[in-house]
Amino acid sequence: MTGLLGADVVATLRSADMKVVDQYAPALIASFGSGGSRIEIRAVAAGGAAAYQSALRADLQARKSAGSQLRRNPRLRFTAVDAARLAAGEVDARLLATLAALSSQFTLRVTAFSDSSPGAPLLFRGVTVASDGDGNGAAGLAAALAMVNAQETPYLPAHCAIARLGPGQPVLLIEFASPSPLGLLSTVLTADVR
Amino acid sequence: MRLLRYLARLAAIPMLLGGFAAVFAAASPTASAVPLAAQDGWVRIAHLSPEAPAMDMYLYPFGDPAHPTVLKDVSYGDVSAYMVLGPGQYTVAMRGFDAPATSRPALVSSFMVNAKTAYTVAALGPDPGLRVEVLRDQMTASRGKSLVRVVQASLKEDNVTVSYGSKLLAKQLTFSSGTPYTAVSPGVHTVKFAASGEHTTMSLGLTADTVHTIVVLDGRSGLKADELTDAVGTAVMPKGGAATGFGGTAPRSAADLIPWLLWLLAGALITAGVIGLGWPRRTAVVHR
Repeated sequence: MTGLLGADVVATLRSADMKVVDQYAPALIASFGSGGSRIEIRAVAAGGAAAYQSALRADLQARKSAGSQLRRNPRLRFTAVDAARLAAGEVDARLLATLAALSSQFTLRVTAFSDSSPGAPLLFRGVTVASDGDGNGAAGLAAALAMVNAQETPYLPAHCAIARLGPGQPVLLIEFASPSPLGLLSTVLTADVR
Repeated sequence: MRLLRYLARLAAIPMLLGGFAAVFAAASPTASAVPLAAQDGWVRIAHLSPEAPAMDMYLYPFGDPAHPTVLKDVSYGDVSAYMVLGPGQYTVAMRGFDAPATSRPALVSSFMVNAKTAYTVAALGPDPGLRVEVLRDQMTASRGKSLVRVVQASLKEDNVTVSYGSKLLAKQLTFSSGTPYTAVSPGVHTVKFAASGEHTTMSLGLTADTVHTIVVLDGRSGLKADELTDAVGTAVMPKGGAATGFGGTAPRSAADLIPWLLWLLAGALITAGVIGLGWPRRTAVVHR
């Protein structure tokens, strides 16, 4: 299993030695099938399971804090369900940062998050937004699309497109691929004294 | 040309003062009743990428994106003074110099500003490929000591070893990484930089109760170093940037602004000396 250390993602059968798998690749990204033939796609944690769990807890706290602040953003509107998910830290950090940046130029209504917390068996973590109240929905979303597509990793999504939600209502769909990198909201080098 | 640009910057000092005053006014309308350091943090921005052009840097609060903190015309060698920022999550974004605020920004980082904590947002690396590191700065040193850390921003050297006098500060430090702070005895000592057979030295005088960051950069031939002052004295607020000319954060009450303004003016004079010595550092203009 030491070969895992050079990989970012591995695919395993559920019948494999899960103790070893959990040690080196604790983050479940997606799964297919059931029982012993279930295939799991997992992210490899370079520092091992304990370090990953520690980083995951810190990331959750950062997402809770950032999500709660985003709820107070006057240029973003959320459903009650999505507001609760923000406060619970269930939204991907890349989506949080992207929404914060978009709100510097656009007033948006979040219609849905299509993700849940890192570790859930989903390939993409997404958000769907619509223009909110500026009367220039399509053009505004096109500008938002261009802004999102101009980013670089880790803020460049896997998919970003304008779609139609119901009759005539354009929405912008933004999706980032799993796994979600941890620590994006707390990229601070410490100031320890030795 | 350089002199003209410098003179233009000196002429801009009153505007800079006005700008900072606006920062304080915007940050706390009830300033007189609230101690400066009760809730706020401090952030400064450093452009340490010799290949990257001048840029405008934006700090967007997650909860209030309509009021970003903006540094215009940040060029290589620039280190801003510490700016007072309310606690919370911020997105760091860059635009080309003088690009409209409505143009597409490049998101480069996101970080949490905590109360009573100082940070340096440093742009490092090549262009394209510029990256931003956020460093948490130490605000006080042990009495009678100086604290020093090293940030490795050299593109030409993969690993750099740095010592101050007999004290080893960094061993084989890789690009875009930094060391913890090391307590050293104050005085004038030689800083030695070693990388792949190359050695560079500079003399650096440190006074007691101060905190510093040594940044390893690429010179025209070989390595060169820049020194940033993170904090002076044992006060709670950082005094960083004084050596660059416009350092230090300011108390918010009007009376307390006076010593800070003196710091600023003194810093301007120091800047004149620094630039006269050929240091690349200057201060960008803050908008808010």
